[in-house]
Amino acid sequence: MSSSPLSKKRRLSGTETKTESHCSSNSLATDLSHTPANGMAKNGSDAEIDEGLYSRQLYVLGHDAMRRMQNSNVLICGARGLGVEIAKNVILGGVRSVTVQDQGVAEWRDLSSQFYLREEDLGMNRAEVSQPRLAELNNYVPVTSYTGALTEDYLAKFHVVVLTNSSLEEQQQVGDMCHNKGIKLIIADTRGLFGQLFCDFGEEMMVQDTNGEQPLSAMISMITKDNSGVVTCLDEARHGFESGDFVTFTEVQGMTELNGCQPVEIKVLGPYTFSICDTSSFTEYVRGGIVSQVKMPKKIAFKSLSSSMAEPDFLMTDFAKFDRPGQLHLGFQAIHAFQKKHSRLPVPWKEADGEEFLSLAKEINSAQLGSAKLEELDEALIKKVSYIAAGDLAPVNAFIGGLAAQEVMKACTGKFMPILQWMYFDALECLGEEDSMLTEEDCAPRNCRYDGQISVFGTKLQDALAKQCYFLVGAGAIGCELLKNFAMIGLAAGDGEVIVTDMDTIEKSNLNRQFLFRPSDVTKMKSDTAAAAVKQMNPSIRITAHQNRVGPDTERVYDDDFFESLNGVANALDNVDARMYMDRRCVYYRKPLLESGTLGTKGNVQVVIPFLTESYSSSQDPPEKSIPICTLKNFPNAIEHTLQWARDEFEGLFKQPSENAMQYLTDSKFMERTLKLTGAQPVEVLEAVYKCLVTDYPHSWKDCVTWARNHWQCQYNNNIRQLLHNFPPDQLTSSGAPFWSGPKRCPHPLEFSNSNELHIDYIMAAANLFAQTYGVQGSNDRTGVLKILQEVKVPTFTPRSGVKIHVSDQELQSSNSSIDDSRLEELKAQLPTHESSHFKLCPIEFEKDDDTNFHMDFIVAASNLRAENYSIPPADRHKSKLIAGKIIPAIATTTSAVVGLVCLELFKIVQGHKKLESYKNGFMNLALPFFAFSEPIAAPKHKYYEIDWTLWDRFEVTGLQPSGEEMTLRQFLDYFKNEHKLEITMLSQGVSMLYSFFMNAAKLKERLDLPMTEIVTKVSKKKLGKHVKALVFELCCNDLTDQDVEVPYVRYTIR
Amino acid sequence: MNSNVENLPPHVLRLVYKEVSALAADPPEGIKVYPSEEDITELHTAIEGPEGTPFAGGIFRMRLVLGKDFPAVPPKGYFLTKIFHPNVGHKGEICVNVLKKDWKAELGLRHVLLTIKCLLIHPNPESALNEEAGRLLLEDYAEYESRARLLTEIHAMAGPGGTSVAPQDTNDGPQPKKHAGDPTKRAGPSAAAVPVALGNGASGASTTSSSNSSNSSSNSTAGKKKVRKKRALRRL
Repeated sequence: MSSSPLSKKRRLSGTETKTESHCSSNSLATDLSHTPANGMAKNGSDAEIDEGLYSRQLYVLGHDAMRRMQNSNVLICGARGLGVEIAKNVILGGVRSVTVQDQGVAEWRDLSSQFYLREEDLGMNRAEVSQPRLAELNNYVPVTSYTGALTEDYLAKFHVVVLTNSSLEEQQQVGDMCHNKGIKLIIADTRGLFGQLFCDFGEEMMVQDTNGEQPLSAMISMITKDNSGVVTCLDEARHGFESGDFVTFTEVQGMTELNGCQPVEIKVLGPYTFSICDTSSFTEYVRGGIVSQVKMPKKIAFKSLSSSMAEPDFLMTDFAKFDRPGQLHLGFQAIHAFQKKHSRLPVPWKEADGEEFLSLAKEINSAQLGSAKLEELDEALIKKVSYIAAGDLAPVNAFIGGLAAQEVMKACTGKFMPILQWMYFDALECLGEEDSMLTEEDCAPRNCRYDGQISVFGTKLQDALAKQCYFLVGAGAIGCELLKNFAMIGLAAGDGEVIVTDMDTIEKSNLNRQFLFRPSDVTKMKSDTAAAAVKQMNPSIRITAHQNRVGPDTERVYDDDFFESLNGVANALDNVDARMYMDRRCVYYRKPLLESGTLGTKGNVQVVIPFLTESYSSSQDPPEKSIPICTLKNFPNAIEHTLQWARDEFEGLFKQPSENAMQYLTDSKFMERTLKLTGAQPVEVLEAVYKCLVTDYPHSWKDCVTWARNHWQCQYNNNIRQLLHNFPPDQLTSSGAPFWSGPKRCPHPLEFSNSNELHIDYIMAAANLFAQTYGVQGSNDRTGVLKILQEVKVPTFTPRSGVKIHVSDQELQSSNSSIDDSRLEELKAQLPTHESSHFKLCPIEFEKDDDTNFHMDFIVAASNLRAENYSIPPADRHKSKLIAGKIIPAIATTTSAVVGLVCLELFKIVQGHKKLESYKNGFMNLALPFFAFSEPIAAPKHKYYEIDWTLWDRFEVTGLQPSGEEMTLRQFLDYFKNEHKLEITMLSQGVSMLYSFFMNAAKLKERLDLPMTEIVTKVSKKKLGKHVKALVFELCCNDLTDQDVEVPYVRYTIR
Repeated sequence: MNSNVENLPPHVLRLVYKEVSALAADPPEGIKVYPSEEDITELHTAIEGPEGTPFAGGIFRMRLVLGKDFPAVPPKGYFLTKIFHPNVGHKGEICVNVLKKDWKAELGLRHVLLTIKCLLIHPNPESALNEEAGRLLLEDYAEYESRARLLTEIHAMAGPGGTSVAPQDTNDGPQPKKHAGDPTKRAGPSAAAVPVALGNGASGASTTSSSNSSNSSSNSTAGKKKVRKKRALRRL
């Protein structure tokens, strides 16, 4: 990758480099489209999308929305913690320009959440200080600061305006101006543990995509002629549609009127059936057809701020807090009223201010005329608003800021459903469980960077946070956001420590959301870079970076001592396996685990608390369905199938053969191992090695092209003809139905053509990859390749008929075995010797993100050719990469919101909250938008005899006996029989079975008197490392009545 | 982390242990189960070819591998014994609905074994992995039967005219070996398995298993295995 990965697609016109962009108040006198961007590329109508940078986000938003974003100028008012969070996400997202407006200066209370302000910036204008730091986030987005007032003329320059830290008067004024001028407005505000969002995108907002889901499609088995016609889908898979969806049809035979029809609305009748329009006049349905969902744009009329204030529509976020939005709607107005009256916020935890605040709220309520008027005020809640309104918390800003930035993107693009129109949020569970009052003194400002947080929680929590030891697993998107929050809240800012580990290096596609990394950091270690970056944000955070992958291999690093020193673990992982591994470690060491993940606009948070909640592994999402091999091999019917086939081709052509051949050449035990394999495998493996080293061995680029051409012929012509020879197009099944019908699409062979771009694409990619594996010089010269192709003689192919059996069984039997054996000997003799040092094979690891390495070129061409074989619509490179590369779509907004929620749970853990209802697991989908919070599921209780236990409990067995000898299996079994009245029927360690009631007698006899650790090493065939102080055993047991009982696991200590 | 079956959560592992012990103690008719002690997530089985099929009289060794997502994802089955069957690929891979779209976590291993046995009785040419077998089954049953029978006799029976005998030691079957850096680890089927010496009779089989369990990696047994291997190969 080049050292400046962002420079690739920038386009600069001559006029764009005139002055500096660090402008203040008057710099935006010119139209924004001509704003200088100091040597930087800029977005705009003429800008291409940098797919390398925006890759993962493009899979969330799509190219159209991305283009619309690149044409939007955004103003973000208020550069405190919330404003800078929104700005960060919007800049990462890639709008045309961002302007940050603020007239205030940095104060101590800002530092608890404004991650681009440092202590030395106190007293300086917040927008101006933040501007250069924000500008670094994305070279394509010019960032300017503005310290002037928000006049009507000024606002007119923008497509979207975001107000944060803004007075009610200003909100109303700007709100009216924006509504009248068609400027989209978002108001975002956070006060301590409370958050508020408001959207007004005008009276005629077109939403292009209301849910962000991929359009579904299904294969049809029947359509009736009726009013309304009923469509039945193949029972391969549920159609997944909902009533009200719109669909259209392709490939329907018989009732062809439906093919390419205007979108028709459907009514779902069942998981495989739905009804459509009147089909009674249509032709009779014969067979086949695909029904595809069509996304219908939706028009939404927003109310202006002033009318929506009185008649608010609320988006519910937590059904356990059903009446909160109305109360908080009023509470936020009371904050504005208090501030207006006193020119200050209520003093944290001051009762007198709370009383006055409450009466202000009552006054406001009684003055209400619209539906905003409440019958009754939740007085305790309103007072709490007063007590903590002066607070400023990084996690709340991260959550609301993530959401607000997504709303900005919705406003720019019409992609996804906006928040209609108010949303309120609170995280009051973060306060002490006993509902005791904190004191005014305890929460008074100290002129320190945590003032904004101390005003909510007091100093005790601050001290506790500083002492925490946390293990952060992963420094990717979630990891970066977590570190930012850790730095802001002061986690490990004293005696504690954050250990962050990640074995990955930074790639260009990370920069779009892993906001601690810059283009110059590409190829550096994530953990080191992230640790250094957050040290800048808060120099007192103690952080150590590791480069280890967590797993059994690193247990000597992350050993008992390591885990015992921790207060908790935060996962920032991208795969379920590692999550489950960390979960198991945390359960074993009884440490709290903060778990979170994102997928596009969806995010979830799970908190695992020892002896209280279930663990991560207790409940799991169903894994993705894999594609059946027969579908891949012979019967693909979707582009996913051809892409997976192409990926398998890649492995089978450019990785495995050379890997095997290299093993043959370098590993002296290879032959011995191979000969031990069962059945025909030894011959198969050696044939493959022979093919790789002898038959296929290319001596020149021309050989590579020839190989590619012949392979093309084999895959896209010969094999298809062979298949059609076995199953001709008119083949019938035993029931008389066409064999090629339903999910089985009848293929047709392709004829190679030098003038077909796709065919040449394939040859270019395949020949170059093949050349790479042999260290032959490849080429990009298509004309040269065309020349070579003209000379290639492709052998003619005749489909093989089944081998007729001429010989008697006996004869064949003996001849067959001798063929195999003699072929084996032949191969052994003919294979090049190990000393043949001229062989330098290079297996290729698939890498999806490098556009010059031919990997994706091969996948796209191979998949689309096969798709053509089966008349499946092809997929472009972008879509192919998503599916074949198993890319997880990702966007900064979701990550920042999710991590905000994670850190709110961290506040609770550090305080030692003990009630299940104090904790919140969260799920969100910013596209809908949808939020759901629920208390974690309690650890399931099990029972044997009268003993209750959960996954957090275990038997502790000391393996080392007083005599210094270790317990034998016999003693172990006896111990459980005598001490716990349990008869062990099966005993296991991991996947190894140490003892079972059905073991054979001889083996049991031998094993009974062996020490436990010896049995473990013997059965598992793995040595126990010196760091292993204890083993985990699982038991199956019977109680005294011979009933099978569930019991906890055993921790068996050996050192 | 390698295959990561070690990552199976305890409650799933417990479920597997229970199912396997139930299967070992009370196997389905015509199927023998040999759990692997080293790795419980790998199950070796021997399925008797059902009467009235071209597989009758044969013993078909089949390996069942539970992945890390079991039971949410069905186990993968591989025939280790060569078989001419529309739904079994040339590497032994099996394509059957119960192991793909019809799979439910509650179905359990017993059901899987019965389904695979059932597949020997009712092949499904419509999801053919062996197209040749699929075609013959549809067009020329006699030919199909004769080919399938031939392969059964060659690969699944003990020897010329002889009756096939499965390993008798149901309680403690042959142990599969792990080959570090196995060149065919992706090929799956029998990468981790050592051929069972079919046709050795009851006593022979138990010798095998005890030699396996005593010390699998010692050099003395390696030689013995080679001989055994050769014998097995010759029968192919």
